[in-house]
Amino acid sequence: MKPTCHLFGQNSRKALGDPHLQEALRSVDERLRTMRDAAFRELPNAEALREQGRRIRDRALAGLDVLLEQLEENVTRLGGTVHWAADAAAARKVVEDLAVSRGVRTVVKGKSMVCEEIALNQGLEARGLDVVETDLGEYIIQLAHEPPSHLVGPAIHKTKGQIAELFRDCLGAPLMDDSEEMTRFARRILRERFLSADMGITGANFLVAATGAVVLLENEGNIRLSTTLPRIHVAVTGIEKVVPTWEDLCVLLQLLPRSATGQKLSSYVSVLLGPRRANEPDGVDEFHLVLLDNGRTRILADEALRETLRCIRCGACLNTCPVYLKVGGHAYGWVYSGPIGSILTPQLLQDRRTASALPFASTLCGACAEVCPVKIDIPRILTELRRRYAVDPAWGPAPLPERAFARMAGTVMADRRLYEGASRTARCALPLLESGPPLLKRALATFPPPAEEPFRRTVSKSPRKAEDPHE
Amino acid sequence: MRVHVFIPCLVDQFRPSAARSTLRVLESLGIEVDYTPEQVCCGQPFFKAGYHTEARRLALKTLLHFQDGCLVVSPSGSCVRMVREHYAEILNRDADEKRRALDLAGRTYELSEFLVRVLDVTHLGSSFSGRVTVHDSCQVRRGLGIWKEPRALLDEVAGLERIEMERSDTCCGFGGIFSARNPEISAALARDKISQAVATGAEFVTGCEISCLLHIERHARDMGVPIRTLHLAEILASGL
Amino acid sequence: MNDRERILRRIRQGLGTGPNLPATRDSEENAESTDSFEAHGIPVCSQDLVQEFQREARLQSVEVHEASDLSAAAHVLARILETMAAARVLAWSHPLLDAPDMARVLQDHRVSDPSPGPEGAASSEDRSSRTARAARADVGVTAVDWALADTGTLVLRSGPGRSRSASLLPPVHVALLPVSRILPDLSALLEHLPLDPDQALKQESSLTLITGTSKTADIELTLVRGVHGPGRVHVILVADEGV
Repeated sequence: MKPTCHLFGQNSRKALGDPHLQEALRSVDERLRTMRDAAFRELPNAEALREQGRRIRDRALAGLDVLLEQLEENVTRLGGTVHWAADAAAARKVVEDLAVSRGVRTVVKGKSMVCEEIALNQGLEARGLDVVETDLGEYIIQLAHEPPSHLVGPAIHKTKGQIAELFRDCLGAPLMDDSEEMTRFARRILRERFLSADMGITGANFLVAATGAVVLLENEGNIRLSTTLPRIHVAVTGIEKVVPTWEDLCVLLQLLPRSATGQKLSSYVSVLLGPRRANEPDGVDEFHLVLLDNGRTRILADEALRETLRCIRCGACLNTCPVYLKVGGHAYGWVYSGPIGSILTPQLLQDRRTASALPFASTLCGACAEVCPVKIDIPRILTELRRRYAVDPAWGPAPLPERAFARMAGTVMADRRLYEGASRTARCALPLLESGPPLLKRALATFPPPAEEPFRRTVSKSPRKAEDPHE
Repeated sequence: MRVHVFIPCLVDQFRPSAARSTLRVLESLGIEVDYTPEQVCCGQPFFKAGYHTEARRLALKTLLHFQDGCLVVSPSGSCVRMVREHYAEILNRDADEKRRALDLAGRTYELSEFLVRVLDVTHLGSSFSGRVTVHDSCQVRRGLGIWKEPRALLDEVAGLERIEMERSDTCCGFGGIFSARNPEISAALARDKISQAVATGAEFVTGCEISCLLHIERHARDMGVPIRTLHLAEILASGL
Repeated sequence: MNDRERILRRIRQGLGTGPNLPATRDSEENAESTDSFEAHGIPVCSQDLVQEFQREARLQSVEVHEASDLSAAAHVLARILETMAAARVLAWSHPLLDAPDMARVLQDHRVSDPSPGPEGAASSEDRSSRTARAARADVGVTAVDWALADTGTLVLRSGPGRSRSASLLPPVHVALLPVSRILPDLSALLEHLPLDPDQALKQESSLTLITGTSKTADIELTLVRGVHGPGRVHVILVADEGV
């Protein structure tokens, strides 16, 4: 997906003016956020659980090479094949070549952010394959040719009416009014695709190194269908998804559904241990696991930013972020949005400069850090990314006028006399400045006008008497 | 007891009454207060904008001005957070610098925290008639864990009616550099906050962080809503 | 250097273990702490398991029925099938379902469970006709390997005569659950899982945890049941599973 992060300002203005989107985001706030909070309040010791989540993810990252090798060995023993892909092009090639060599014509897909990240669908379609997204939300945005706007509910930015029109225009459906009716309609269409698909492609929520198990969570059942009915299942996932043992998985299974939707457990948790055994009545004949780097090793190598990789893609940070809840996912301009998108996108994109607006798309309020099930300190990482964009040539630096202004302002604030001089000058010049260029007027209007005299000029004057605050 | 009072740039320029009130409140408790005009800025705006060199320079100055070991009290929650949370991070050139940063962090307090937790005082003898609602600034509530203290103090003010917003801890949208870079989102968040405040029937919004209050007041004016903002110190000093 | 080597090298460099050094971090670092699950904040169920399971399952819109033994369970199943006119059943081959009373009920309705041909690995033709047959079923009937009380979850292993399709394709799923199989929670399930690669190989290719019905909230966050998987789930609790 081509990044449009540099258009964050423009996109967010558009989002603020979209009443349907605003309504949808209010829903996310009222439902998903409150359901997550309620689920965590019910836990006997939520803080201890989050701390365990953090430890497990850190331990996995600290031993990533060992775990990936262990995983590879175990997946292979179970009859699966492991492919390593250094970048998006390599991953696409693996899947495309596999599809072509196996005579695959139709593909059913489960929701996968990684597949969006590498633009897998476009690659397969270019090779003449028929690819259908089967998660209802993903199916909807596939019809609309839009990117996902949320990690967990990709189409929540769309109204029922918009979806009904989409079904009418793209599928020849009658214009429906009922969510159940529309869902049943989609179920019928997608059922046909499941029954005839040659290959199922999914992501993976977790990979258990100790046994080679691939774990997938969902509520709809489309992932189970995609990994049972076709003859081939391909799971494409980031290398950071590996966890050492079942015990670790157990902790993360307590955290992920609660954080994402406030559920204790998703409707279906599939623990896949290779292709079907010879005596099993159904299941795939072939299983392939594609392990994707695509910039993750670069993040791993950066100690200050490494904890970004702890992320288990729950979306809790999106649901609680005041900025995300105002502008939605598309404004962030790439696959990953919200607070996690603001730190992941700058680190994953080849051209980091494209994403320079994202670390500033935050008030640093800290709500995200409070809900992250693996305790990623997103505000700290945002601040560090801001530093890099401001002064580090590998990321920015910021344009010269900005850096010069910062240096000048720093000098003024560091010197009492300069500061007091500037204070006096600004007060004199205020009327002049207020009739200046619009940008300056806007900056000046940030606050109500300054007080007639700053505190420091009054403190030495008359003894401190009571002031009536009602004045 | 003698304490330093740290009055940061925004309070100095935009709400000096909050500074005067802070001094008044502390002196009413018999505390000797020392104000250092040399101290201008804690460095926070630079730190958050990515200019850590400038931030460091200002942090070193702060260290210098308050090096005598006395407690430092400030009506600015975000500045206190900067000192407690980030000074040791940017003042780490050597072990001695870091030690001094941690030392300062350990004796720097936000005003309501100082009154309630250090002095164990909630009743000052203040009086203020009006309906007031508390905005929990992100830096203060999430950053410092302070939200019970301002409420405990306000509940002891004669004549004051305190009402809670539905969600007092949602970000007001200022976020320092955020309001300059994303003014529309910033304004939308302020409007949400103001709507919540209006829904409580309050006449005043108060809190421990002046930047939030100034942001709220500016947008309230733009909306034509007659809500005013008062720093906690201004209310506490009333009637003393 | 292929991508595998490239990636492993980058990881080792990034973690500071050097590209050419063998990965020396051993199991000690990865050793599990001996603290209890409770100390780690993991919820642990300690109530009456049957009651807890029923409560949690019902919260997930699962219809829970009680049967004193397999005979009674067969009656319950018959009743469920009767309420669904002309029900075609896709059922597991399983000792509990092969018991006389159950077998009789399933007899008339059965769509034979998809089984592989004698060679094992079926051709694609067999796969699609197998699938089509399973897709015609109105009800899937399975047993349950374990259940988790604190979340109302059913745990099903695939295996010979135990298709994944039975609990997935038909719009209704009926699960026979002997109460002896109810575990408190997810942590308790761990001892039953293949803990090492050898065990994993001997076992089935999939373990599915089913909690409630298939559902989605993708349209305006409105909950709709029965998207791709079953929209109705019945659990028949069997007190005495003696055959």
